[in-house]
Amino acid sequence: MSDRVLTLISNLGENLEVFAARLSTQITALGEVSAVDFTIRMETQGVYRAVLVYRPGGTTGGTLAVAGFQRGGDPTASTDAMNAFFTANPDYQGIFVRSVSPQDDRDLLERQLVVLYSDGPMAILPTGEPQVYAALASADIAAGATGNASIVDGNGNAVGTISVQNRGTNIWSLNTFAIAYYDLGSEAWFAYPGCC
Amino acid sequence: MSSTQVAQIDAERTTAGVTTQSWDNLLLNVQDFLNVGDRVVIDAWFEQRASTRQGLNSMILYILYRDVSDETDTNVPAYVVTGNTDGQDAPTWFAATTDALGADARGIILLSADTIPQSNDQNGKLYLWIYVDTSGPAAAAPGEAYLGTVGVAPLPPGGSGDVDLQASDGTVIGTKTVYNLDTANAAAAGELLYVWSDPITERLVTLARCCP
Repeated sequence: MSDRVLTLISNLGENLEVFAARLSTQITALGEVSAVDFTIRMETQGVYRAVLVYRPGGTTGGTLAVAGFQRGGDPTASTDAMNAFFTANPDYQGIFVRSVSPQDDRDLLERQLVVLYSDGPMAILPTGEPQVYAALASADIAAGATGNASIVDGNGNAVGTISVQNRGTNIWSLNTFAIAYYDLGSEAWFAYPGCC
Repeated sequence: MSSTQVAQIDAERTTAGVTTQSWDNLLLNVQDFLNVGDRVVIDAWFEQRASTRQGLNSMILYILYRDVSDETDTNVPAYVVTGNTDGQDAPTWFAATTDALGADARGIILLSADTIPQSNDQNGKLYLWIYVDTSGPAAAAPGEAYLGTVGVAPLPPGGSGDVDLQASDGTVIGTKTVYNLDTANAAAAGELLYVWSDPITERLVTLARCCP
């Protein structure tokens, strides 16, 4: 599946935080995507250009969004605001952080920060990267059949759901573990449960 | 649950009561920040202001990280921060650094900044490189997988222990701390397991009852 690009340019003088919200709306309209890279810069004074390289599809468990923080009066005000944002939303997972603070001395104390994040952990890795997880079957999955499984991270927390094919010769029973692999060739998940 | 946070690190540092601002200070401050040990690096970005009034004070590194201080028994990679010095040719420095480190480093973040306008080297580039010391307990890149043999002590259910990771020819390539995600079953000493680096937590994990 090929990568694609979303570009958005702000209106002249548009507030960074307003622009970030508008960018989030554009990203949501793309459907289920994962982030490959993200950049934002100030083209001319007051005009931002944001570029998201994304990959359609991927695992469920998170939707990409962008938040902007444009605060003055204190050099750490924007950083503090971003930390408060993530503390209030502990399920959100940051992916890329960018600074677009003014390059001149217009406001020595103002910082402009942008973060691309997922509102769930599974959008962190783009489809097409090596991925291996422990997975719990959401229902019995017959040999050769495809069904849903809950992905478990390295701390034992359920972090998302994938559609996965049971390529073993045994039934994959409800709530039992198997190792789920993302196959880079077919771009699909598979597992061999009950192999012991 | 771990939380995403951002740190704002500047180039100011106080040593023996004397406060200075320099590129070297920035590298030291970033290393100090990561040495705390419960911070998993996600991303980083430079902010640089070409101000004659601010000088290097305008150079800031933002680090996006996961604060895992509330998680128990989490393998946080051992991060190392390095960079070239002002005026040192960046490509030469980077080639020499990577050659010296060989397989003992896995790059995470590489960022460049311009030397400040006040510098004598108007065309110079400053590089900051954060890498993982791969001799540490969480050496594998996220998603990498190995075969491993449980050491002399069994892996308890939902617990950690030493596992000898193997190359494809069976050669042991290192002993790592591995967490058993199976909370019902232990893995016996000497048992062969499939071990992988969890892409979210970077923890080396296994399932005791899922043989290779």
